[in-house]
Amino acid sequence: MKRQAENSTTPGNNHTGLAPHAKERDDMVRGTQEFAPTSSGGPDQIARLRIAYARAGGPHGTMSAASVDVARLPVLDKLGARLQFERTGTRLYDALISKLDAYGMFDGGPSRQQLLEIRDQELGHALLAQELIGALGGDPTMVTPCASLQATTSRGIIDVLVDPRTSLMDGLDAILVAELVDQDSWAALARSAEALGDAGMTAKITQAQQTELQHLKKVRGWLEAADRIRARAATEVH
Amino acid sequence: MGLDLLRDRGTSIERQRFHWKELVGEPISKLDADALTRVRIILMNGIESEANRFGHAAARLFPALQRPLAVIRRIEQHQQTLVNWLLPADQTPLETTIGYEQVAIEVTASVASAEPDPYMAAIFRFGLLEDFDHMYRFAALMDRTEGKDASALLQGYTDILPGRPTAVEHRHPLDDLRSPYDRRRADLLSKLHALTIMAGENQTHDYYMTIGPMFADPTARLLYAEIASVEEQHVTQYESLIDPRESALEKWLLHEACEAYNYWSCLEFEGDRRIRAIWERMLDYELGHVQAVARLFEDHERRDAEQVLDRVIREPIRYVSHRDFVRDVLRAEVNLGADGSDLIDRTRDHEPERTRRYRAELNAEIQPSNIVAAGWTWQPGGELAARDTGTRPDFNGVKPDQGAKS
Repeated sequence: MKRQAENSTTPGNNHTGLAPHAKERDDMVRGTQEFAPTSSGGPDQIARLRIAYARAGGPHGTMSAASVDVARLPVLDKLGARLQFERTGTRLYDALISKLDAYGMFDGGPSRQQLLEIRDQELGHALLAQELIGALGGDPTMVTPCASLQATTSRGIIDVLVDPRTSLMDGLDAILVAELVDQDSWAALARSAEALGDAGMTAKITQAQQTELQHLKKVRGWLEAADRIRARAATEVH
Repeated sequence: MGLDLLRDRGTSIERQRFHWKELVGEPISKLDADALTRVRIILMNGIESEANRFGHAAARLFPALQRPLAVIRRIEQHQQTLVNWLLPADQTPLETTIGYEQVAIEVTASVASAEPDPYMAAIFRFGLLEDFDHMYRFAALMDRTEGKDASALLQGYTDILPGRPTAVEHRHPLDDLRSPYDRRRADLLSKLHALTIMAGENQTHDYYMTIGPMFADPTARLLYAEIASVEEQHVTQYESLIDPRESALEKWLLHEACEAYNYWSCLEFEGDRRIRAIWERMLDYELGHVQAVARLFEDHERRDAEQVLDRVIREPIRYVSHRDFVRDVLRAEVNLGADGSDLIDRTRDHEPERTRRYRAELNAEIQPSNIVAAGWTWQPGGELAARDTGTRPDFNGVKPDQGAKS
């Protein structure tokens, strides 16, 4: 098995800082005194450009023009996001299980069975979102604007999880971000569903949110254990 | 030790094989690898990319060459994969861009200082100052949109300073064409230099054209559009240095020689043992290509390949910091422009009307590279590390500006 805490506790060969290149750093700073900026102004130029483009442009996407009651569109937008996020979440846990298989377990960390359980619950939530979209007359194959935004927001999470060079601990750090968003997003969906007055649907969504809350607690616990391991490993190095 | 392209033993083409696992090996570490290892990887991707581009163009024009081109081109496509897949996934497109500009600066500076032809050396220095400015603009973009310091990638080898302002680099296409070397008289090194820098600029253009639309920020989209346009100018410039009277086979032979020359240069300077082994293997493969194409050349053209590859190469591209050289060029030549194939002093001579009109039209509404770096000076850790950011101005209801003035 590979070492869990190697990335953050082993003295290595990191070249990014300027401290080992102090002479070069000083040369570079001296250069800025001789060669001044060639355009005037400050960072507000970028802000002005953003504002101009934002005012002139259209939205990044819209809902479809299918014959669905307009009042249901905000819920369908959010349900579409949960469907996509939970499907991706299932794949994230698949990747996390591969991390566990490559790096092994650590004291206080997740077992394979625990990760599999969460993985199956994420899939269950995706299927629930799919079912609720159908019940509201929506199209579960449509990528909604909210789904697209959340996919863009969480793009880096999967990059960390599928990179062979990151450990199980690194993967848990990444999945925390997903669980934080997921938990809050189910809560927001519950509020939107309540406004529609469908008690059955609201109850199912609230149940999913409670399960997500449990995921978040478990991940936080595993990360606390990971920090203890890292601290111990660093002490051993010294 | 030099490089004897026709006599140093390489790997015969029949023995040049790959499998997927070695094509997709372990990438370098963005944090731990030496910046110049990244520079070499990026340049060699560009060199192989040019081999592929040339090979396809030649196959479309010269049916007699199609079969040997197909065989060697496939090997080179796999070489390119092996090399380019050494870049890690956590290196973002903007970070890779910083690497591309470091290639353009350090490799062009090395070539410019070793170039035996004074006109060609002047052209390399001319292009160098423009890529030098691109580094500054992209570093400003990185700092001002992502809060990151580009020096983490450059590792002290390369300055982040304004060069010839990108805003004035835009020239009419006819003012980007230069005079070619004479294929019968030019030094072999000049030919290899021109091919190397042309290949680097062409891949940079293609890379910016691919990743530019992947950015969300309008400033980034504008800056990539603007600098990709200048890279197109640079490809025009450097390819026009190459004698168009060279035959297709002569050009192919020089392309293979250029690849071997570049892998040899990488090998001369590489400190990472694993990467060294890759450069060594690729050099052996390229020597096999050079010698196979030399035989084709001799069969088809009934002349000796030594007429083209006429000497041992003893001047590798030097993978070191060229800070002092670049600053000297910056002090002396930042004000140069072009009138046709001649370089002129913009402070003394008028640039052609066609260039002035072309530039004024492009810069009329928004000047992206001025906006991104307005008043920006590099400092360790980025501009937020050393100053009070204060409160942001409230632009609500303010009409946006058209862009900063040069």
